[in-house]
Amino acid sequence: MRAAPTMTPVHTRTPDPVHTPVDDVQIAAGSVAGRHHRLRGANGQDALHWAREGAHLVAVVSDGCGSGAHSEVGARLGASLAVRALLEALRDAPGADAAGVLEAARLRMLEPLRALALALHGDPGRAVLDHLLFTLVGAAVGPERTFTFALGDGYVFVDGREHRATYPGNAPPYLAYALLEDAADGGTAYPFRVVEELPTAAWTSILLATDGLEDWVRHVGDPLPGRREALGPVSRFWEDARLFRNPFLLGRLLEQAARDARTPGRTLPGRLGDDTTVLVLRRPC
Amino acid sequence: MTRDIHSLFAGAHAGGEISDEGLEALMLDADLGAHIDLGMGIDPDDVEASEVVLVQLLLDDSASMQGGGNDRVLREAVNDLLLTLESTRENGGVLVAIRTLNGAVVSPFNQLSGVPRLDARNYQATGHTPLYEQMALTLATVLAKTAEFADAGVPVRSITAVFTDGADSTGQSPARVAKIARDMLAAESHLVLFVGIDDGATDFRQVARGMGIPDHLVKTPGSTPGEFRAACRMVTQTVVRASQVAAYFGQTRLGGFATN
Repeated sequence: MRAAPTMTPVHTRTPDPVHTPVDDVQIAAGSVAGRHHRLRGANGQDALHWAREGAHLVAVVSDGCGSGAHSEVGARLGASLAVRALLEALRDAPGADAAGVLEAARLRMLEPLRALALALHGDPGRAVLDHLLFTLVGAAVGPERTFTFALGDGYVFVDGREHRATYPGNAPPYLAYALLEDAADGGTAYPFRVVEELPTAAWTSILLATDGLEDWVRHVGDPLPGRREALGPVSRFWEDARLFRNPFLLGRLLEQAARDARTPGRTLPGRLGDDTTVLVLRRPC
Repeated sequence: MTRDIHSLFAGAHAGGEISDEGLEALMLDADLGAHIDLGMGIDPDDVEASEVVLVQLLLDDSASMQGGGNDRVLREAVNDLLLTLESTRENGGVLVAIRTLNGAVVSPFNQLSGVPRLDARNYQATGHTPLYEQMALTLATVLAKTAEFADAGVPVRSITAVFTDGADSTGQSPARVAKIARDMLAAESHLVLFVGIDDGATDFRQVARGMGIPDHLVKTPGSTPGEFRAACRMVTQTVVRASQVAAYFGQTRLGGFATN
């Protein structure tokens, strides 16, 4: 009887995950309550969120409407909902253009917000005005293309190119306006707008910020309160490697800029009057 | 890294965290900065946490601690505390420092993974009891480290736990310690816990009051290992709870030893 041939064992293994450009993206982010809110003992009304799923990364900053009694609730929910909705829209329609993806995401977000408004208050319109008015500024990064977007005011910097939307009377459009009974054009008048779209390989830095960054820009050459170090140009957020080594440093820098500093005889006011949130994406050159 | 300790204190004084008396007490010793620097440890920029809790342990390593095996009980208790802190959620912001009454810095402030466990080599009860001198230095170090994190924009609070089995043996006055401790406790972001192992002669509550530490922050267990061990467990529970809950740092009785 012939001996059975020796079988070389076949090692089955999980295939290595495919490396995508989003795997190389570094993120630094922070948020601070502005001086005006601190003096009133109020919460900051900004929020931020990001997530990677598959070959996509979505990052968003959000600013609750200052006149809303509890807008920080909406800002926090809105940032998370936006990221989730965009990732699903990108997954479900990989060939869609940026505007199509954003509109699909917007509609996905309105459903849970509508349900929440109904659950929160006998008058859903009141719930929207008190809790759910928030701006959104974000970026969606895919293997081939990246687009930045906004619904409401805020800042986007792409490789140092500044994009900023401002609105008359500091009254930006809010996504949740579409939930109101008297919403313009049946609620379709408040779409996301694409800020800039470009190949993913073509950028090295994207900065998203709420409009509180305006105070930073105004005080660029001034020292951080109580310190010799100046606030510095906005580019420090994407140029300073330390901010990406320790994810908490960007928030601490905002805190140093926002807080009052007491010296013998006087108080040096914080430089950031409004809530300020900054989120930076950085790719290797 | 060379730190400007005096600038940290000056900044804290300007911010109202240290009184005039407290600043005077801190600046008395020209060499204090160098001694404090030994215990400062990790740079705030290397701590990945949104807020920080500093846990400072000051351990009596006088020869009398060997009596009844309390040195061994203390080693085990400290190691148990470190293990318990490691098991808590979000302990990345907990920084621990350990020093002894006879001046040894077992660990400057460091994250839990970097703090050595006590053993017979790094903790030996063979010295005497310069309680007041080391209390002043220890509390000054805690204040300096607090100021360093606050300056870096990091919310910070501290818990200092002192273990001793005897009164000060050097004849010094506790007044300097009291000035520093009162500032710390008034800020409501510091706890100072005092455990005095009953030696049959020392009124440890009086000793603690002399250093500005109120009665509700003092435990005086009996000298048997069992009683000392129970008091150490209470310190562990208190430290762990206080590290998790900012509301623990009030001037009410809530800001004291955990009772269950």
